[in-house]
Amino acid sequence: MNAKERMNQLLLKSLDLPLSAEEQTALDQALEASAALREDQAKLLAMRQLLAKAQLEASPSFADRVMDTIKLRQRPTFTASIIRLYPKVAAACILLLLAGMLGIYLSEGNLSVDALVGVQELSIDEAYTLVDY
Amino acid sequence: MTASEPYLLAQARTGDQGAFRQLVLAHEARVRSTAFGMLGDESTAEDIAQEVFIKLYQNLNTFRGDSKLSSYLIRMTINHSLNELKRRKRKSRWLSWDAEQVPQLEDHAAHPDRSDTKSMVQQALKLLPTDFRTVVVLRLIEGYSVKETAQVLKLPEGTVASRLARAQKKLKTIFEQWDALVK
Repeated sequence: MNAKERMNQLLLKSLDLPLSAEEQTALDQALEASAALREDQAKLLAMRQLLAKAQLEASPSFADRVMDTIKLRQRPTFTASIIRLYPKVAAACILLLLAGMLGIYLSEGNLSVDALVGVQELSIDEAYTLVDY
Repeated sequence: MTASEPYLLAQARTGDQGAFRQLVLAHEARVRSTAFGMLGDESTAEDIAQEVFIKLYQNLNTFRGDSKLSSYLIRMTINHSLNELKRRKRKSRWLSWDAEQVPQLEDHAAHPDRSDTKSMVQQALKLLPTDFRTVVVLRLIEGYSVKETAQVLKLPEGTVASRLARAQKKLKTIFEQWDALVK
């Protein structure tokens, strides 16, 4: 690394980190001796000012938008409601099914497939009549 | 951290939305500004910032306060912004079938409007690799010290300082080409 590069690095370092006494003296001397280095320093400082101006300002309405979104996301959705209701709906269906089977058992005396389907007392002629109809 | 921040955090944990709103008000400018610096467009930056605060709200009970809330939020903002940049890169790759699309200085040879500092700075930042852009946004735009930047990014201070030096060299070249540093 030549002296010019070293001074450029020291210049950049001086903008963000503290220099040792030795480094500071070397940089001060180089700045005094070199107009180009002074120009670089001025440009870097101008650039940093430019960058600092690029910050966004506060927006009070932003907090309201965040709070609205939080409230919206906390509201239960249709799917969530269905999932929450599901155990009750499933239990009611099972009860209905059992009640139906009990009814069939009490009226037919058994739970055969014919009894469940309701064709136990259907004669073959009646079945043909139904097909023709 | 402001004096009342631990109190506001404790209140927010109990479900006090007013306290949480105060926390958002205290940190929103920095979070939005960091996302804007990383992404270059204000509308996506707002979306990212919103997601960051919603995530904080969802994780209030797991945030133990080992790090400062501001550092925690900025780290989340950087991570969300990097994910968004990756998503954009993937999308542009699929759309154009190109291997990579990094804007080049030659693409911005026409001088941007010098009176619009924000958009000029954003154009310049887009020409930096994301590693460099991240340190520039935190150190030179948001005003964190090198030490704080290193803490937020979980990097050694030396790495931050060297990325910062290289980024400034590149930015200086860009701004010189645009005559933006002329007094």
